[in-house]
Amino acid sequence: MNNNIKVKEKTFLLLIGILPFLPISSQLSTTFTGIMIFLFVLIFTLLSLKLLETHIEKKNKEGFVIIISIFFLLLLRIFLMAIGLDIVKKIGVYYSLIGVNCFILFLYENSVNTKIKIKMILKRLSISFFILIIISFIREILGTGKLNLLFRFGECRIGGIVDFNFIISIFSSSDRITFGLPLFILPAGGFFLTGLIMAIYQYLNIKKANKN
Amino acid sequence: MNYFDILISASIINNYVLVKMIGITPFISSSKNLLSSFYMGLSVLIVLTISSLISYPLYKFFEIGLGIKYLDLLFAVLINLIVFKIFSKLIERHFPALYNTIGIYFPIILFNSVLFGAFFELINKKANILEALFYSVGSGFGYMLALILLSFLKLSIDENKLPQCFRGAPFILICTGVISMLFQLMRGVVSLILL
Repeated sequence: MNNNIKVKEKTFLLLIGILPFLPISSQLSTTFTGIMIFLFVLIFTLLSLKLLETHIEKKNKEGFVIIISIFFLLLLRIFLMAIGLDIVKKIGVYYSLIGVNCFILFLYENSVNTKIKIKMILKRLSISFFILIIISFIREILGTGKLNLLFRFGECRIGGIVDFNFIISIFSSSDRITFGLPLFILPAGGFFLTGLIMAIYQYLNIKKANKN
Repeated sequence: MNYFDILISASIINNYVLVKMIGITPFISSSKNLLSSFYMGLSVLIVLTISSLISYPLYKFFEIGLGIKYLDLLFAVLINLIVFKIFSKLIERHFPALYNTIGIYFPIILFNSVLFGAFFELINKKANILEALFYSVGSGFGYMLALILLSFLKLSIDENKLPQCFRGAPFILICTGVISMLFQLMRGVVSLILL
């Protein structure tokens, strides 16, 4: 019984890192972009918190994290727009929601642990992001019939070519005819796939817990 | 576009959880039973409506009056925080039974991505105040409807009869997928009727 509760808790912790990115997981390129943005904001926010921990009162920590994460999110947006990369437009409204997820994660960690350990958060997030990439890979390949690693974000003004175009067609070699299962592109497919993968994860954890 | 269309569009056609997939984490963690789902959905509706009506005109004033466009996230967070604090204090004082029922979910409501998503969507749509009101009421109602439907579905299936690996979050996610498919179907039908 205790093992089952621990497994359910583990699954829930994993889902905190996966579910906020589910809307952008229908394409592998947008998933990678979202993960990079999230990690940038999260790492810099937590580092700032670590550096200024002694100067901030405990009751003001949450407010501080909110302000700092918004600051880094804005900074990143201004920087990307300044060098001409269109990432913010590509992701749309989910860009700001990634910032919101940063402090939701912080609030959860703060309520559960007395001290926030960056390494532990990143370790747990790495498993979540690995599963998220698998979900995104399956969704794109089964949903559209091809894997389109088109990382074209625009013409970069500081002299680089930000255009990586690599397409693998799975069901058809022709660009005109594609076979896919549109269910996986729709939100319902995302939910089903995530549920199935979480069931596999829980099965493996239960097996491991029963062995011990 | 008339206001009824905005209401139906926000609640069914562009449902935040089931179509846009925003606010899934609090959605799956709060659907414990029918009554608490209803109260949770109602709280989100009230907080969303009030905070949108305050934050959106204020943002417009700063955007048009002072030309500051990049503070949308700051506005969304600060106004939601203030509205939520006032709302929770009022509920605690005047409806203590209700507060005890959904008190543990209040932190979830506070940073529910639906609140922020609706605000950013209003900025993109460049809506007026009345449209913002109907849009936020529709979004909140859609969230509440989705929560209640999920609770109904969970009540009708005995989780103990499922394999162990499917109990908990996987089962809830699959149920959410089923309801999402239903909303996709309704989306097509409602769009036809509105057109």
